[in-house]
Amino acid sequence: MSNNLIEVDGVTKYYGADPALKDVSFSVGRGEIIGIAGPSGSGKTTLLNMISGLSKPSAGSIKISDKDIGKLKPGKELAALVGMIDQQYSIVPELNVINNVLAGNLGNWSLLKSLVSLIYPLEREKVSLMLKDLGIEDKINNKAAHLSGGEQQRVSIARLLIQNPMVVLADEPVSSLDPTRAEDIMQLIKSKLVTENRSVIITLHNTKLIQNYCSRLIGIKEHSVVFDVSSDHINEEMLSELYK
Amino acid sequence: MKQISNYVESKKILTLILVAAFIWSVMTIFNTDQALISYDGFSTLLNFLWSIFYLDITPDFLFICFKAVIQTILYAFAGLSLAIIIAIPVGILSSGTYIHNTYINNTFVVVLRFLLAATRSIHELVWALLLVSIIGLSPMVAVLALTIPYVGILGRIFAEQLRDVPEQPIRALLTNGANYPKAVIYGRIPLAMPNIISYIFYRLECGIRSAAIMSFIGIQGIGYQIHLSLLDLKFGQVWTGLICLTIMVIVVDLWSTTVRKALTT
Repeated sequence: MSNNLIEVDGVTKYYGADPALKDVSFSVGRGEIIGIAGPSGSGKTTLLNMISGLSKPSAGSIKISDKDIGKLKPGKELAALVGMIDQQYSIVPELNVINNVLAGNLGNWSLLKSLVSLIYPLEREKVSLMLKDLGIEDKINNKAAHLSGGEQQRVSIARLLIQNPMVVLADEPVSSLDPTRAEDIMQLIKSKLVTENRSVIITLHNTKLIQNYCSRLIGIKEHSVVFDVSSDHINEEMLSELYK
Repeated sequence: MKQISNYVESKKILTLILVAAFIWSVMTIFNTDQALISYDGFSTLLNFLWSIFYLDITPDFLFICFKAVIQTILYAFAGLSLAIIIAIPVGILSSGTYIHNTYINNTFVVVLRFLLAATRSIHELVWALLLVSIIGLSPMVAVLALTIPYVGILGRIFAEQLRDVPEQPIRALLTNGANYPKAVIYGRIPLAMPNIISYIFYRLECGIRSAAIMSFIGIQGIGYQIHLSLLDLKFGQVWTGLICLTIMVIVVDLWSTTVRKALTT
């Protein structure tokens, strides 16, 4: 067993004849929080989708804890390895907060239990404590659509805490929030989601957030990795060159 | 560029064909030996129009009409409810979002879509006529004649709505441990629900109109009452029946509009 939690090895992805990613390799250790930056269309989301197991690489392999992600179907085994938080659309706005959080259990629950919980939410106390910790315990019965952007992201974080995967992928989790809310959510991701055994991969555009919260930054441009450096070495020039 | 000009050309040709077809069809009207308008009908028409001032509003007849309206509404409710119960599983399976295995999934999708298309391509009135000759003039005919094509219509709409939900929440649920069935119940159904309910209410309006028309073929209901009065040439009663039918449709329309507005805002 290697020390690294994630091993991305020579991953290439084609959509038809167009490359979305070309020969990308890197690894992530346990308890790390890694930033990924790059212009729109450079392949960041494609990369995250493949690490999440929802799309398969055209070539190369992705392993989390030595298990080949490309060979797993959505369900229990995949959910134990990797979970995802999106820009703000991860939650189901029509469901109330508690059911959105309990969706983190779907990998372990049977279809029947999931249905029962939709009508009569199980584990109410556990969720209530968790939401209290995240500062939104009073919203537990609200429809998720009525929450603010920052509150919706807290619901997504609570769902991931229930799911408890080894890797969390965050695809621009703060890009629709104002700077203060963005800082709050980054703080929560770092303090709640990153643990000794869990790593987070996060796509970000903001240099300051990258410097403050990530241990490393991977720059992607035109479908390839252009740099992979410790965040101490990151400066504005590197990023403006990346986005040029 | 060539593609665009081809497209414009073919559009012009299509327009010409349609215009020619229209002119030809109008010509055929004048090409028959029969008179276009039967002038004897005018006196009956005047008689009929005049009868609006002689509405039959005796309590007995009003009660008959009221009963008939309730019957019509009940047929529509029963037919639609049965259609919803069948259309939910059929719609889910034919949406192609429930089964992981591509081959099994495609088989379900193709077979069910064909069945749905077949049931809805025959109008409810035709189903009613067919069913009357099999079952006879029973209320069951009205209910089934609505249910069969409505399963086809609702099943297709349910499938479309379940397929067309935003992808991000579904993607998130799949990475949170849901398989396809669980993503359907936690994601697709809640996301599609407002549109589905709104559409069901629209179908209820249609169903009530259909049930009223269906009763013209002899199944109990407001249409049947109007038909009987018409055969007896009691035009006053016909008007009363028509007004009852109109009020019924307006009331259901208003109710349905209110509910749909509340759902979409």
